[in-house]
Amino acid sequence: MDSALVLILLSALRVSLPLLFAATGGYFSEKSGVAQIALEAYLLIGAFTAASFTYYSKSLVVGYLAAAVFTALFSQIFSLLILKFKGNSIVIGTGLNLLAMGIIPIISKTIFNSTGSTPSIELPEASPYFPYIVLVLTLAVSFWLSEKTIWGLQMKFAGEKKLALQSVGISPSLRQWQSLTYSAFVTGLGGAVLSTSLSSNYSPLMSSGRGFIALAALIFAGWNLPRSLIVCLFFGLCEALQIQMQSNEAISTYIAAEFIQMIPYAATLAALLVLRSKYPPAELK
Amino acid sequence: MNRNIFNLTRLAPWLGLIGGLVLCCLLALFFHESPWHVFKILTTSFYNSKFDLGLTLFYTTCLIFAGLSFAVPMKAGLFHIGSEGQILFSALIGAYLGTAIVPFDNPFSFIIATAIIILSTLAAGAASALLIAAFKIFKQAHEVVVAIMLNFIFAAITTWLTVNRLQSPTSQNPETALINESFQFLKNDYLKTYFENSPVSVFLFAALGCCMILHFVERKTFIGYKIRAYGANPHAAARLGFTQNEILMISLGMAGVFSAGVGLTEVFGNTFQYKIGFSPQYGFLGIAVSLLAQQNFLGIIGSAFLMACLHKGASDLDLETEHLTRDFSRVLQAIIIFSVAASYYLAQHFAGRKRKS
Amino acid sequence: MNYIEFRNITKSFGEFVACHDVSISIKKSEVHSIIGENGAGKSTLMKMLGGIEPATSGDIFLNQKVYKPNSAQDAFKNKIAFIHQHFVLAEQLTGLENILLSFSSGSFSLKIKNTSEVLAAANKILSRFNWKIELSKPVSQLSVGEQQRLEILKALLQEPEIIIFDEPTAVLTPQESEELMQFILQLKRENKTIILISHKLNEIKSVSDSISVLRLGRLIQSSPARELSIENMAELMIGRQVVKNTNFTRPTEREVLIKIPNSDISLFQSEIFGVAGIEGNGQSALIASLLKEMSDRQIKYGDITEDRIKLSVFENMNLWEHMLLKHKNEFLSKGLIFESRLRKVTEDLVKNWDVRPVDIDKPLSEFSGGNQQKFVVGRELWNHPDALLAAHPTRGVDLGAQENIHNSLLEFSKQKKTVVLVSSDLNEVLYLSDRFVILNKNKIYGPFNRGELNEQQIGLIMAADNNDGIRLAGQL
Repeated sequence: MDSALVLILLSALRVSLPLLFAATGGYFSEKSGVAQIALEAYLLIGAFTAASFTYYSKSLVVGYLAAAVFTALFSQIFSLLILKFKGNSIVIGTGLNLLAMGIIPIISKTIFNSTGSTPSIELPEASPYFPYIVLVLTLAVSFWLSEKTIWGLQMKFAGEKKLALQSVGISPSLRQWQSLTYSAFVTGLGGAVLSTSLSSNYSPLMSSGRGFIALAALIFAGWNLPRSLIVCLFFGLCEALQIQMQSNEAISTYIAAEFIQMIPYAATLAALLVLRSKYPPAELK
Repeated sequence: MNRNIFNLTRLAPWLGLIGGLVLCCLLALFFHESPWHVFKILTTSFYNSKFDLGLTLFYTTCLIFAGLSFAVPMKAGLFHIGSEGQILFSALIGAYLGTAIVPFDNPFSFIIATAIIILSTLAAGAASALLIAAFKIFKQAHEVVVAIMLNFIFAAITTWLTVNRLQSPTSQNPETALINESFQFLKNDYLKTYFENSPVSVFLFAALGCCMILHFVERKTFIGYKIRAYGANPHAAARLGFTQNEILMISLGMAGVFSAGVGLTEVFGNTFQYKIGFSPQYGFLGIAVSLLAQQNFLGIIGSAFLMACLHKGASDLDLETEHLTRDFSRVLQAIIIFSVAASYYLAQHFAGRKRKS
Repeated sequence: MNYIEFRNITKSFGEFVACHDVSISIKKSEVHSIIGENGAGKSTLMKMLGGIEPATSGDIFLNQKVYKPNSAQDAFKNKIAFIHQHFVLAEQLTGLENILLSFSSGSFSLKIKNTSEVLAAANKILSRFNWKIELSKPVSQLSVGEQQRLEILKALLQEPEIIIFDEPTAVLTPQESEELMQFILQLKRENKTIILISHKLNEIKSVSDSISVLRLGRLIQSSPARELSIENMAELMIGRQVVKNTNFTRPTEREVLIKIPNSDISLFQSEIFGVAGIEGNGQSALIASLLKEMSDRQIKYGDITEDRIKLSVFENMNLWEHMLLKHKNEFLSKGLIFESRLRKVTEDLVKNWDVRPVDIDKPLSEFSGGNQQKFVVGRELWNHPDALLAAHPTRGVDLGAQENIHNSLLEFSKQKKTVVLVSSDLNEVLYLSDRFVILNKNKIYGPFNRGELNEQQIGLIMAADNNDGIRLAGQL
């Protein structure tokens, strides 16, 4: 095979990583019946936490774990407002995105005395395979949870028929809360990949819409986990092409950077034009 | 009894706002700031000077338009969060036309040219919003996802156009040239002079007028009931012959026009050019404004002014405090959205308990 | 010996008393039917037994012991199964997954699903009753009858002793209903105790050992089934004799109003034209094409929709706003709404149709189902249309209001008007229609004249896979 092609495919897989995590996270939220547009916030929180913890601890494992745990903690705001106070998930999701965008620079100023990027992380001996290992583990656990366990079945019933769940004495909100927390946990890992593996520090708004792209992937894969991962890989390919094109002088003189950067978003819209989403969970709100 | 519950749910979001404000100030403790100090800045800095008050009124103008842009589709049950992209796009179109069209030196030509520019800008806003409607009509795509993607795309397109095609040759900053001098007629009007040349302009009255007209249209004409009916139950509305296409086109088209209102306020009332990054995300601030007023068109005037005061206060935090930055404005918006959302539930809960006892 | 005993049960919701001092005894291994009008309190009573609602006062005894369930789970443990009228199934999940759910508990566990065991147990029961359900298919792909069997299978897997059926035949064909009744008798032979809630009196008569009649939350009578005739039961339920107005004459010369699209059927003025069939066999397509035809030809029509909540009621909109939405042209002058007239008209309508409470500023969604329907029927007839589509006009309405609505349909048709009556209640179609058609798999069979077919023949046409030889009028 052409080495340039292999390079592009490898880079596609690499840049798909945050999308794959976010789509998996989104899957658990949407399947349990809660529309999830706060994935963007989770990616940002995960990215910032991972960058800070890795910077101080010099350990990727600590960074990833901290990202997942802090994002899961952050998502408790979402769960509380939606499950307890019956808020609208789109409104609360929008608020959460704003909160993440606003609070990170302030925390960053308090810790690093800079509202912009965090200091760069130097980890010469870190394995480049680490994020892939985490991904495989996450996907395996997620698939097992959703398809093999009774918990997964109950989680799906929370999204499909709450009444059936109540009739066997299980609180749908409880399963939704667990599922939402897991959703944030996984998406936080995606944020960690973003700041520690795809780059070497946190820079403001670095998720640049990936949370929404992952959500779009999930929607037109018909809320099916394996299919949505394939769609994510496709978006990753678009992004890899974009990076390739930007670094290619011949192309970048003809096509402006702004247009190349638009590719993932335009591809998402194009995909929405081609495909039609079906089978949303019956109680998705 | 019935009236009582009604009042409580009406009042709930405003109580939520107060709760949110208090929470925000307490949050300041985490960043080693005095909550009282932060509270004072947030609530008082809007009238430090006439200029400051003018600036706040300018924010109010933009927030009224942005709030309407969210509220109108919300009546039809649509979550319209694409306002930000439409604001950028329409503002750039307005700025471009303002530089490209040169009217002859007579009042008739000037009036025609002004009308063309204003109408085109509004049309550009409407067209960009109708893209969302098109996706929903033809592909049943979820309006939220489409709107977000369009926000990114419009941001990219406007940036490219500004930097590569319309960049002002005399400026180091990424911005277009000033619009034709004859269109800068709001530069020295009485309002600006009174408020010491602050950004406020007569667009404030246009915004207030829009609220009142919408309030009237909603109550006294059929179209208001039609849109509300569609929002309450799209299936039943279709059975009565109100088609989805019609409602989507009207409500999103109007939303786009109001987004363009923000663009006009900026380009023809404030800077007279298009500056990249001029909008502190009015589109998202509009959501909080609209939720606070529960989509009541007259209530939006009040909530827009309140949010404008807080926004003005938050942008002063940069100077007045050591650790808090203007990003605190977003935190403030988020917490207000949260507490307003929670307040509905609390109000109902409270009303329910009262009924039982 | 009494197996289940309700002793002085009272249940109130705020000021509304759903059950008032009800005492019923049920013996082991009998079929005990509970009948009553909508809102008579029969479902509420069963919900207390099923652990879904607690009683306000009074006790339930099970096997001589006080039984106080706090949840459906408690009822489950006491071997009580509740088969709901509206299926509690997740449509996009498979039959097997729906069954698996009932084997799980509320405590958090990451146990692997015991798929194979459950499947084996389910197949055992299926073969015992000679049923065939494809458990690997999503529920949405099963027929209504199969979904109900799935629901029953789910219950039987828990090996219950007491089985409550809430209006089980509402959505079934006569043949399926008959099979279900046989099945209930088979369960009885296996020593199960069956409680049957229904308003189809002939079915009840055929299977019950004893019958309790409720009216307005009070127990009217509880006695062995052989002591009650169907006429007695109806009288006890309503509290007076039901006068059935069955013979009415039609003018011999009638004009054609319109043709039903895609068929060779013409609708006449002065007639009630019935459409029978199980729901989902083309009713919505027929209604849609008929409505389109009428608006294309500018025929003024009223539209009592097939699903009130989904198609007629706007949440948070009050009665006069609903009036405006339907009859906008009557209340607009120079583009503005003539509010005083609108309020006056709505108030009169509410009084004429006895909609309660009389509060035109109250959202329609907060009225009871019967009052909502009365308002909708009144609103649709208000401007004297030429035709009326009445789809399931009496669904969820109590017998008194039902009679009212039936009479107004008859009255309306006498004024040289056309009524198209779509209903899954065969008795309603047979009672009201001059002519009727039967829908099966999007095919229109008929039209048949009043009295041309008996209930059994109609049932066969409704359910058969193949209706060769029956008059085919069109295809949807």
